[in-house]
Amino acid sequence: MRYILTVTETNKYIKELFTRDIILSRIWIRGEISNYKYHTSGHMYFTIKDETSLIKCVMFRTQNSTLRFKPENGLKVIIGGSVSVFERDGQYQLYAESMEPDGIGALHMAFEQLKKKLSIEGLFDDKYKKRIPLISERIGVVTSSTGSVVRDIINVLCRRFPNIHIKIFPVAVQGEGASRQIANAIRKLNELSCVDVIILARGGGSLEELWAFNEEIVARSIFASKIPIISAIGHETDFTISDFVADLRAPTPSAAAELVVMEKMVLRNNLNTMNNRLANALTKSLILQKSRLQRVIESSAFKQPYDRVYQERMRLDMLGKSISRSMKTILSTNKSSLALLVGKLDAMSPLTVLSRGYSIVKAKGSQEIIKSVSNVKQGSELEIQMADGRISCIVNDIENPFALGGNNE
Amino acid sequence: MSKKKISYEDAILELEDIVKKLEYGELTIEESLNAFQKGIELSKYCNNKLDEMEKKISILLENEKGEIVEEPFSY
Repeated sequence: MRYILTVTETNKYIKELFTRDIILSRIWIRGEISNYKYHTSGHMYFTIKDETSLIKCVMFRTQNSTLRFKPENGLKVIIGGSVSVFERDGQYQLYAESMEPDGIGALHMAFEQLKKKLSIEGLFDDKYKKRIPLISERIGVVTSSTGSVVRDIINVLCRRFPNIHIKIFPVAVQGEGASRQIANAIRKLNELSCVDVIILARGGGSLEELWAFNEEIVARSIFASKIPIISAIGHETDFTISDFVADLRAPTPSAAAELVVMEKMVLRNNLNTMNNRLANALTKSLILQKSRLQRVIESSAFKQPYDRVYQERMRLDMLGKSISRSMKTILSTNKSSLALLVGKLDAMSPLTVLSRGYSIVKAKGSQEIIKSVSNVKQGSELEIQMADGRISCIVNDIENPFALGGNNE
Repeated sequence: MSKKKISYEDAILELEDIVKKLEYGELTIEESLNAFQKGIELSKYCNNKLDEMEKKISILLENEKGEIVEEPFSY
C-alpha cells in the first residue's frame, strides 16, 4: 500500500529530521564566503565553500547587527548556527547566528577593515593634520574623570606651566556607549570652541578595552574637529584608529601633556634670547648704516669734487699735444717731398742741360726745336743755342746712320 | 597693535620675523627703528601673556538640557 505525501508534507518532514538532529541544530562550519549579498532588508545572503563543496547561508539582521567586521567575498570564516530546510524551495541552508574571521579575531578584522576604509577616504592624510599650537591657554582633556590618566596629565601640565587652564571633559573610555560619549565630547568642545587643543586619552588595556577608540564614530568626530587633537591611548605599542586620525599621536597620556605645552621656563628663555637678538640686531643695523654713511662721505666724489674736471682737462691737454705733434710730422714730410720735387724740376730745366754741354738746334727764325736730321737740308741755316750764347751756322753735310733704306722724309 | 586679538604664537612668530629682518640688515634706519619698537612691544606682550594666564582646572558637565556647565575639578 502506498502512502502518498504532498511536496509540502515532504519538505516539512525533511525539516523535522534536520531539526531533531543534534549535530545539524548546533553546528560550526569553517569556509570561505562567496556570492555575498547584503539585502536592503538587512539580511545577509551568501554561500560558504571549501575546495570541493559549498552550502547556502543566510544571516538575519538581528544576528548580523552585532558583527564588528564586515563579511566580504573570499573571507575565511567560522560560522556558528544551524542547518535547516527552507521549505518553499526545498533547499537546506545554514542559518548563521555568529560569525568570526578564521585565524584572526573579529576585532582585529574590524580594526583592519576600518583602517583600510578610512585610509582610502583620506582621514589619515598628513595634509589634514592640524598643527599643535606653541602654547595653548586652554587645554581640553577628554578622558575618564577617575583613574590615574587624568591626574598624570594635570600633574605634567601644571609642572611645565603652573598657570594654565585645563578643562576635563569626562567620558566613559570603555564599554557600552563609550564611543558615543567620546564623539559627543569632541563635538561639544568644538561647538563651544572653549579650548585651544584637545588631549584624547586612555590608559593601557586590552584590544577589547580600547575598542571605543577604534570605532568609526570616534574617528569621524576627530577628523571633523577644528581644534587640534592629540591622542594618547593605551601604551606606546597600542595603536588605535583614533591615533591615525588624530593630528598628533603621543605614546602615553603624560607624553601628550608634554607635547601640548612647552615648559614655561623654556618659553621665557626663548623670549629673552629673542629680546637680545632684537637689541643686537638694531645696534648692528645702526652700525652698518653709519659705516655706509662713512663710506659715502669718504668716497672720492665727495673728497675731490673737481677730480673729474681735472681728468677731462688732462685728457684735453693730451689731445692738443698729440694734434700739434701730428701737424709737425705732416709739415716736415711735405717739405722734404717738395725739395725732392724742386730737385727733380731743376734737373729737367733746359738751362741745366745746356750747362752740361748739350745744345739746342733750331731753324733760323723758328722756335721749333729740330730733333731729327730729316728736318734739315744741306744749306739750311740753323741756330745753335749753347749755355752761354748762340751760334748761327749753315748745314754742310747730313749723315743719317739710323736711316733705314734711304730718305724717310 | 590690537593686543586683545593676537595669540601668543602669532606674536612670537612676528617677533621672530622682525628679529630676522633686523639681523639681515636690509632695512632702512627708519624701518629698523620701527621694527625694533614693534619687536619690543611684542616681546613685552608675550612676556605678560605667559604670566597673566590663570591657573584653573575645571570639569565640563552636561546637564539634562545638553548644556555644558563648567565646575571646579578636584583630583
